[in-house]
Amino acid sequence: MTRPRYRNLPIYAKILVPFAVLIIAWGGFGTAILVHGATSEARSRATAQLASAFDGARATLANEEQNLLQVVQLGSNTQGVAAALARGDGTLLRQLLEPIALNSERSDFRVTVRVIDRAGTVLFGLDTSVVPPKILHEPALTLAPILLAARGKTDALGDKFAALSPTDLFVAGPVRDAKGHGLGAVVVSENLAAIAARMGQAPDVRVVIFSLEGTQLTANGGPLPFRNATTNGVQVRVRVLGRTMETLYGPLDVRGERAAILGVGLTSQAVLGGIQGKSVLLTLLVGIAVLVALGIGLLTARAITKPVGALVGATRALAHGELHVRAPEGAKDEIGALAVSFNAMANELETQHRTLEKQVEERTAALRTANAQLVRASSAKTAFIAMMSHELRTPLNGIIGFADMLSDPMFGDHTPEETRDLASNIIASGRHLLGLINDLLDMAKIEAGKIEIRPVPTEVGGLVLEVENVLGALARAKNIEMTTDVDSDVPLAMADPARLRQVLFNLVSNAIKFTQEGGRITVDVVNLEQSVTISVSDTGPGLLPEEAERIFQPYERGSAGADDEGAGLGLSLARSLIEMQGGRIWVKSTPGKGSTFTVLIPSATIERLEVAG
Amino acid sequence: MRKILVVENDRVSRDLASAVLTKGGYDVVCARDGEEALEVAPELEADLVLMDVGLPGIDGIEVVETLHHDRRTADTPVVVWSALTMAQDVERAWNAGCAAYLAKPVSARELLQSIDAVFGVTRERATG
Repeated sequence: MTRPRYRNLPIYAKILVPFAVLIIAWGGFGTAILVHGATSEARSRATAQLASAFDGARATLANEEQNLLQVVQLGSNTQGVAAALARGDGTLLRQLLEPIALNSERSDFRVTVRVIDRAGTVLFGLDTSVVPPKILHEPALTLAPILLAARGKTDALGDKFAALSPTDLFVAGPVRDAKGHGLGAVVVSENLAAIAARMGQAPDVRVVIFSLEGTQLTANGGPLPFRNATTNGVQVRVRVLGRTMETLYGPLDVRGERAAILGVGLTSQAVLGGIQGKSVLLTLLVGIAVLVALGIGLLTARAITKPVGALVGATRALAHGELHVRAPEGAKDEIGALAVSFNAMANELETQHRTLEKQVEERTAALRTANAQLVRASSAKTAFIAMMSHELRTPLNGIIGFADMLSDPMFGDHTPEETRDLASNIIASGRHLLGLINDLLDMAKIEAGKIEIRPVPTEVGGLVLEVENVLGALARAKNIEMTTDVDSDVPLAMADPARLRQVLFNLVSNAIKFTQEGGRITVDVVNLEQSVTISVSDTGPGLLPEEAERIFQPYERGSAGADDEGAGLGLSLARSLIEMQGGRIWVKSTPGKGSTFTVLIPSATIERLEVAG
Repeated sequence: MRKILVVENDRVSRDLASAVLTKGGYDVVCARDGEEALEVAPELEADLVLMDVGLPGIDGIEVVETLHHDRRTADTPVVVWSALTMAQDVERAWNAGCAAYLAKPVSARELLQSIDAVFGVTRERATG
């Protein structure tokens, strides 16, 4: 069995548990105090009740003794009783005393009247407690105080003599002759049961008289166990036939002598019955109060933890990526503040998430573009390598082929003229190869940022003529008309002469390459607002519009030059070199009619950076 | 004397083929590009065509295919020599029906012997 541990309980239970413990403890404690209080009160009331019953019983006995004494005095003072006693005349005694014995005002006061002589012999006896009254024939009375009275004795208590037999209370008065000599006594007795019946008046009260030896003499209301009480008021709780009783025992004195033990008792049910009912009610009320308190506690705890639950739910949802979820803000307490903070956090998270998504989208798009560029660059490079292989093999074919003709005996001996011719072909091929390699190296240098440009004031016209001198023969070989026109007001350009010459050489040889036989090439040098422009126009196949910019990229070639010799590096190199000198290069072209490549170089009089910008 | 049509746009390579084949005893006619080749070939009655591939304008392989479709040149053997040496270039040349494929750079001896082989000729010296 797994017991839920306290720290794993939900908060409302955690709040509730100590409250429940407190409430239950307090309720139980309160109940106990109240019940205890009521019980004590009942007990003291019972004690008082017992004392009252006890005193009442003793008073009843004393009262009966007094009543009996009155009858005794009435009898002993009656004229003729002494004389009749002296003579032992029982008949006369009956005549004298019968009216007194029967003349009682109380219906429940029925006594037995006797006259005894000095020896205790009963001369006359009449019991009025039975109907009809009965004449007693008894031998003698032997009770000591009674015999004391019969002999005319007097003690500290005077002429009052009383005694208790197992069945009756006896009171005696002496009868004396004229000389004061004791003749006998008038004795009046009453049945103890009758007396006891008058002792216990209240319901649930038991009155029992025991002999000093512990024999129950009479009982009223029910029996009680015997307790030998030497002093007054011994209160004990006893069990009689399964019933718990509160009892009080004490001695019963007759004529100052301890004559019997009086016991009074109250059933506990009588004592505590009301209390028990009250206790049950009290416990019930406290129980209800505890339940109500627990219920209120539960509701309160729920009320506190419900928004926490909502918050927990919102947090979980957020953790699962539901960024739109918000916690109910509710009351302006700590939990409300927490919910507000949580919502602020969720807002921030959602905003950041959106921003992030947007950024990712943007970057993905940028990456896609970059990737496309890379793929294109990669395929351009592959194409470049294939093409470079072709370009390098072509001059090598000339070199190896002609060298082989020179060296291989298969081709026999050569005349000096033939030898020169073969060698010059080898040299031309070698130079072609060298040009390719130089272009490649220049490109590599530019890409590595290691090329050096030293701009100085340069006369562009001279450079143009130089290039024309070198390439003029090629143009004439293809029957191309080439003209150069340099304006007279062209200023000095701020350029690296070697690099500018390289570019112009490239542009013009391109023009020759792409111009058909019988075509025309024009080179114009013009002064244009503090700059020098050099335009190379041809009547070649021209460029498609989309090619106009692309041909300046490394390894790219126009469609017209796709199968032609050249590494596809010339224009790319040209652009890099011109821009490094603070100039610009561009092309204008009409497909089928020709192209014009223009180079702009800042003049030597102004700062090149201004123009470059 | 056997007649050979050399189609080659690179001047040096053209001069080389011309020099080698002339030395080998062949009658050499040169064309500088595909158009020129298609112009002269049908009437030339050449015994063999030495064809470069990377020509400006019409590609060398296309020229070969066109010649093979012309009744007058359909049976003329073609030897391809090219600086395009990648696998797909070589395959394309064979598919076009060339008699031999030579990858530039080619030595003079190799060029001459390859052409001789097409004609079933063996020799000790080029001049004969």
